[in-house]
Amino acid sequence: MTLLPLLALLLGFVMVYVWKLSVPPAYSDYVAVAILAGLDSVVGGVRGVLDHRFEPVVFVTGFFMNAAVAALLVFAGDRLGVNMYLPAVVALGVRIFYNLGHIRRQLLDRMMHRTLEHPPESPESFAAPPSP
Amino acid sequence: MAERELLGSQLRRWHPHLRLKPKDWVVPLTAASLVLGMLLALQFGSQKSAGELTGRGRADLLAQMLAGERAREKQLESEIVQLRSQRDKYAKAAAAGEQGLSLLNKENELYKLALGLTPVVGSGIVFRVNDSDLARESSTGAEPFLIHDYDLWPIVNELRAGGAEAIAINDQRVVATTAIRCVGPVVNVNGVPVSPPYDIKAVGSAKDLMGALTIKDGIVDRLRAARFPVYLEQRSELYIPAASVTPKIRFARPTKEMPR
Repeated sequence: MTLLPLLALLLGFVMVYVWKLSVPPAYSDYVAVAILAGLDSVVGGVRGVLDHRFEPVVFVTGFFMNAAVAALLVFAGDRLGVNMYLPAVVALGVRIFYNLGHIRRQLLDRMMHRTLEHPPESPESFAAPPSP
Repeated sequence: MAERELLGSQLRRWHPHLRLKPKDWVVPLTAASLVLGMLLALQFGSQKSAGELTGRGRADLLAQMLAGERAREKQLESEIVQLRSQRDKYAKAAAAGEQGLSLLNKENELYKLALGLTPVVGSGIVFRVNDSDLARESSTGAEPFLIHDYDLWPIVNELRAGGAEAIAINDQRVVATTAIRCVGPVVNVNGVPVSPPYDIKAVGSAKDLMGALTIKDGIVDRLRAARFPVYLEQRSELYIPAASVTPKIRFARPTKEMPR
């Protein structure tokens, strides 16, 4: 089950790659930020899953909206003569790394606790100290 | 087994988020991943084709285009030569037919010589100037150590002042309508790119021309001070080609009267 998104990623890649679809080089900046926004959404989604805060509707709308808006922002920047590509890349990149770090810590936390013979003392044991 | 169950239940107690309901997130994440994968492949494909245009592939493509354009240029030049010989033939025929025209023909020859429309031979000088070696070593950019259009113009100017009758830069005849200008990294003369070293040939009095260039604080001194390699030579026999294209006169009309 957890591998399904990864498989889908691979499938999508192979599908488009085999069909030899590509965008004109002039638009590659837009696709690039759309990819980063999508990646940011997916990483955020994984984090949400791990934090048990995952909302499917929020995730799906966020994924498509963010990708579209990021590309639109870069497009608007191009029209206005402001290079919005770099700030978009920086902002999204920072978020991706931040979320990845969070995911890594979560997973490490779990792995370490799973391998422990004795889990750490339960909060309850602190909350309810043995009465004399 | 029971121990494991116990551990599992304990784990779930410590980490409530382990109780994930896959149904909630698998479908959206899978769909998003599919789209992301497609986007990645799209970009991958276009970046690859862009790489072909920017790396070695681009150089090859440009070389190919250049070869094509060169061939076209050769063809057009041969066409010019052919058309000129045809015209000369007509002129000769006309001259042979009517004696009165021969004088006109002679005058025509003189004008063509002055305008640079015929190749010329004669004594003169060759002035060679090259980009400075500092261009390659400079860490702050090669720009100040390259010969530019504004370095070549004064040379032509001085040669004209020294009485040059025909001038060519790398065999591009400098005529009245010639433009010398930098286009990107190369200098264009008559719209034809020329590359360093620049051989500037001038037919005229070698003594005068040398003097015009080597006068104190003149062209040669200035170029040498800027560390450009400069080389001057007198020649008893120089060949200077004709302007490759006859200038088109579209706006200027001959007139005899001064406008009031």
